[in-house]
Amino acid sequence: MLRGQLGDLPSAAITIEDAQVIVNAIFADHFNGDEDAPEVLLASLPTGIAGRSDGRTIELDRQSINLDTLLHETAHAVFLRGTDGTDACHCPEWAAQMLALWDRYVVGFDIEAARASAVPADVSIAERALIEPTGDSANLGRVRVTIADAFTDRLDLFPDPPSQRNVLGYADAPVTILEYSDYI
Amino acid sequence: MQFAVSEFPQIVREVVRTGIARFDAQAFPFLSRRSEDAAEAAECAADQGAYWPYRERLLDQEHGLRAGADLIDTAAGIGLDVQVFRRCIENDTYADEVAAQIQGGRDRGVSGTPTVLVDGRKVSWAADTVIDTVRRAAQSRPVALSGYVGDSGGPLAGVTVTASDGTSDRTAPDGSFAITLGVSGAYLLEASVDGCRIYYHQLTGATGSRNSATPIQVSDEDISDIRIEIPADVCALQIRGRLVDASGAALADVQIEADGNNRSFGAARTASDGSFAVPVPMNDHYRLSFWDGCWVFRGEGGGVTTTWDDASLIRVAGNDVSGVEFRVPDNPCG
Repeated sequence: MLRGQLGDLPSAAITIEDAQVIVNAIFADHFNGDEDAPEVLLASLPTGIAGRSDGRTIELDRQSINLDTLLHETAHAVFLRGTDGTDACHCPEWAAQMLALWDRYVVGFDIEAARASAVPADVSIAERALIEPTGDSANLGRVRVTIADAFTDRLDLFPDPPSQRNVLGYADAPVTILEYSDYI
Repeated sequence: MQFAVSEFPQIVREVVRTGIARFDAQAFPFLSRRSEDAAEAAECAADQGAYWPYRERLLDQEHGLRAGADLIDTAAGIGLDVQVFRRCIENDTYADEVAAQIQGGRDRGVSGTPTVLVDGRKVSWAADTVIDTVRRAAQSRPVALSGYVGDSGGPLAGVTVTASDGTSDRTAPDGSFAITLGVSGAYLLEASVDGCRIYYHQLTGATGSRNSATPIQVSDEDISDIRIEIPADVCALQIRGRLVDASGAALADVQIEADGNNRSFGAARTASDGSFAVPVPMNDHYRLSFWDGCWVFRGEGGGVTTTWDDASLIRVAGNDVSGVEFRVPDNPCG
């Protein structure tokens, strides 16, 4: 579900090690150390199943070690652990959780467009994610750096950054570069 | 200039577009009035949402300011409303803003261009270095560095302690300070005590020479046991004299700085009669200077020079030096 709507985004293959880095940082970002991150495991899953999560582990099929499968399953894990749930659901609350992950970590993801595209497909999405990040910029940075690494050869796929007068870039970027220049 | 052409695009591509860093361009015109005008013009372009294209055009090697481009024509060339733009320039709308950016740069230790700071820490402007530093900063947890400043009389309050990335704190009444550092690495800690600059030294507590300072290695763990204890012979001497103009009249409220050969430093402001007493941290050879739109050094024979190498050296060796006359001609910077 929703993969069709998100299909316009570039798909990025990642390593299983990077997948664990991303999941660790997302959990630290959302639970501030109160919840251990799920272990990311390689698996041979039945045909048609790219990944699955019970909240304690995330299994990725050997054919589907990519960013969108990982965020899909990580959204299940965050939702399950944050709500003490036991069964992964493709429900409106989970959908909102997954969109929130894309919005926070994948620069240029248009969450409003994703929500709009879900309407004609009759997919319900909750108004907001139940589990919100605590805002630790180091964890946000870890995920963004790892995702940028996955796209190293295709960085031009990222959209032009927004600008506000003499500041270029996204408002929530975890690092600031100050440059002093002269025109002569 | 070279930075804008060869380094900036790579930095934007790798860490700005990807949401890892924001790029904040600040003006630091210091070479000519014309570059100051250009900085103000860029702010006027920003009013019309065109700071970046205007900046790019001004920095262009073939058609930019260095090639003699006109500020108004450049604005017209990128489709700005020329009347509005001209009015903005003629009214000096952004003179104060540019002055504030220059002062902000000075406060951060900027003395030339291009200068790049990542989360407040100066780094080489080579794109690879900036990108690497940004990526490390993005993944670092802030680390707290705290400690104590005091001398034989006990704790010193109100002392500014500054790490080599520019972050600083003032000591509390009990001499304590706490600085938060964003990036792991080796840091020097300096403290300014009544204008006399000292550095943390692991064995002696403090040294007056930056060359002798002990770097503090910062990784992921907070550090809380830094003790900057100032020995009795550090910051115990002064260079005294008087700052006057060509007619011999006092120049009051001017900051006089003393730079030593061993990267030792002291500073003091002149009194109403032009007299100064600059505290110096150690025995050394010092150059006296002040800022008047350029650095004005005391030259041989009590006159001035704007060249570091031509400044006269004042030898401090165990005793105060007094009777130093610093006579400044009209328009020392030309």
